[in-house]
Amino acid sequence: MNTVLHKADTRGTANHGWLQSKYSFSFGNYYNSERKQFGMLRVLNDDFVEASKGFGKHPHDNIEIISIPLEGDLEHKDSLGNVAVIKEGDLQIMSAGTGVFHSEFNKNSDRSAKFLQIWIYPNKKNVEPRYDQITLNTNKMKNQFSQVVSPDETYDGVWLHQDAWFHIGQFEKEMNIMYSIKKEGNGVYAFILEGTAEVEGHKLLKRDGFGIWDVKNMNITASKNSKILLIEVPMN
Amino acid sequence: MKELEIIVFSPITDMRDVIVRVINNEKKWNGYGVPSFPELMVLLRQRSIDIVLFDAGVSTDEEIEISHKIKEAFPKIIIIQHYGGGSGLLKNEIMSALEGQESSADFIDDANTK
Repeated sequence: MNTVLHKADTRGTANHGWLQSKYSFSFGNYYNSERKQFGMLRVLNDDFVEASKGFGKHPHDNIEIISIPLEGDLEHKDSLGNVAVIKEGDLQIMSAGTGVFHSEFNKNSDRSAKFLQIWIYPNKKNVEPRYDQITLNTNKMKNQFSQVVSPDETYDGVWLHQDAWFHIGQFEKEMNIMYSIKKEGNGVYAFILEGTAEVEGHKLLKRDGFGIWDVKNMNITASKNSKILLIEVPMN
Repeated sequence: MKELEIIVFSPITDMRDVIVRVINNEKKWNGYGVPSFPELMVLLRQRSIDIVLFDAGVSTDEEIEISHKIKEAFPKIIIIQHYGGGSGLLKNEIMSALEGQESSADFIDDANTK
């Protein structure tokens, strides 16, 4: 068993005024050689964007980008012709593939937006760029982990070009859960969105991250009123 | 601090131009874009280049083949695959590639390291 613990207050930070970010892994001007990635999980950014502000048109290629608004709404526009609002409770996937330009702005003029930006290295380069978004089924997340991202478009949630799975669980009471890793060679990174949890004996607070690999399962004790994101990815 | 000379190799003009602009926004970094292998080799012979960065539109096979040819002619050049994160990952990728290089201290200046 191998593990890594990332306490919330050890994340990299950036403050651009309109944008305040916390980086679980090296990003932008934050470089930590010991915090570059967790397997194929390369970016986990916790972003706060002021009202009406956002990321102007910029390119991506060969990266799988998952955005999860936690509060507020984002307006997405891209060079594929997609124009969409992703709201709190939604999840967006963009496979950048051969290349795509996009912008993401806080849709609201009277409130800030908070969202997670998660980038996964793909298992195939130069794919056709694509975009999708879903509204998460909160009933399915109640007191259990619900799959929201997977490699297969026939499964629940959105799909991506990687042997990766995302699950979100929202727990009304203290619960013990065992998460079974779906593919040999994968690790899983738990990120506490709300509340606290104990993962493999480690007490985690809000926005703490904990990764484990070379195991078959991850044992989690979710506290009452906790919300947890699990990101399973290949480690090589 | 020595200036870092970086070629961005990509046949996709608008993607390449953005990365070159991001590079040139960095103090002491100089970026040049090339769309093809022949133009890449011309520039490598004309300038003392430190890094060749593969951007969008280059297949894995092309990367491997071109990397071999670059290394044969210019063994000290650092080759980087840029994962389309623009300014988000670019600086990190360059910092990471420079780590462990004998000359890295010449290029590393004021990155926010922890």
